[in-house]
Amino acid sequence: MDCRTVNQRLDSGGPVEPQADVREHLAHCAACRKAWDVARATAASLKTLPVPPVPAGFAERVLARTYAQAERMGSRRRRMREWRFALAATFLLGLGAGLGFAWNAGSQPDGYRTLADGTLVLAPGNRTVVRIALDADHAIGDVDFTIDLPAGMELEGHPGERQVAWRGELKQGRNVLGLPLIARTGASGELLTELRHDAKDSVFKVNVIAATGPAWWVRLRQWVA
Amino acid sequence: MRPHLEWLYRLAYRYTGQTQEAEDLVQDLLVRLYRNPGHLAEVDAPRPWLIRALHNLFIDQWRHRRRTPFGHLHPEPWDTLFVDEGGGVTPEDELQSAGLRRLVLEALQRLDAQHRALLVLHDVEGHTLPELADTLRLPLGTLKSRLFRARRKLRRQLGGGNPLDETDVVVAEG
Repeated sequence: MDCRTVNQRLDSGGPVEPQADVREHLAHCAACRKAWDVARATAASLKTLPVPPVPAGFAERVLARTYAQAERMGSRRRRMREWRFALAATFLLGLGAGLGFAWNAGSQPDGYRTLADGTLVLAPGNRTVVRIALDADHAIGDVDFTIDLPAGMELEGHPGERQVAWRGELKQGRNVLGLPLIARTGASGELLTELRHDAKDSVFKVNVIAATGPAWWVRLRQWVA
Repeated sequence: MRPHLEWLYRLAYRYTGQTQEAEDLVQDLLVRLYRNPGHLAEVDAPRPWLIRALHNLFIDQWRHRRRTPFGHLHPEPWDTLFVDEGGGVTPEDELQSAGLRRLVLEALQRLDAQHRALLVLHDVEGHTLPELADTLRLPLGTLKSRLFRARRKLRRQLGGGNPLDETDVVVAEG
């Protein structure tokens, strides 16, 4: 038996009493004898390793901290959910709010119908492009567009104007109206988009608020909900 | 959970070697359980389940700390645990003395978490390898080879290495 075998047997089997062939090797190999002795003594020490007494009040302290931490984590998760909503909203507004409207002449008495509506929350002071999608069954010329803005909001390039109007046309399919909105802090109200053609008209309303802090969260939650 | 807290603390102390870390480890485990209370409620034998949960959490945290510059904590001195009785003549005599049990503990703390945890569970706590394979849900062969390496590393830490085993030599820190 060689030293490697003795050591392998030692580490795989544990420091049990050496068998005859191992004892024979140990008798004339000081290194292996030392290894075997150390292993045996180590095993004995491991079995008797002390553990300090459980600290006084350990259970109460740990349980109390656990409840407190779990509660904080719950709050953090709730805040994270709100942030996810906020980030989603920011992303959406950064690209332009996708409000879907339809220009569907003939299907309703007024020729229009609204596909989607909601409340937009804007970051105050920043330019935010609100995009309104208008779906038309066929091309329509001579459409009068009128945008009515809430107090404290304006379209870029039209400072101080609460109403902006122009004449244009709708192509067949989706038409996207991009409104570069700038809002003061706290401004809120209805953004009205009016389309008039051939004595028929329709108005699309979108609630818009520009707020930070608690109002932002409150309204954002309302919006997401 | 309260009936399990004391033995969990002792096991956590075996793993960490520090009273505060042991307490924190148990608390972290409880927080995890609190988040998913159904897990524990569904198991028939909570003790093996808790052993596995604590084991996995300890190893996860050890790995995480190893990756962070702030993670390393030196083992606290065990002076409060031992009365140094002085050494003996032979290695076995020395290691059986209280002063040298401290060396074993310190050597244990220098092992990586997986080896340390397995030695604690097998050689300290007395679980058999088949039991641990079942509890930890690890292959028996993996545990056998891991235990083999753990013992060899520990023995080398304590000066009982064999010159033929130099390929795996672990240099003791500090």
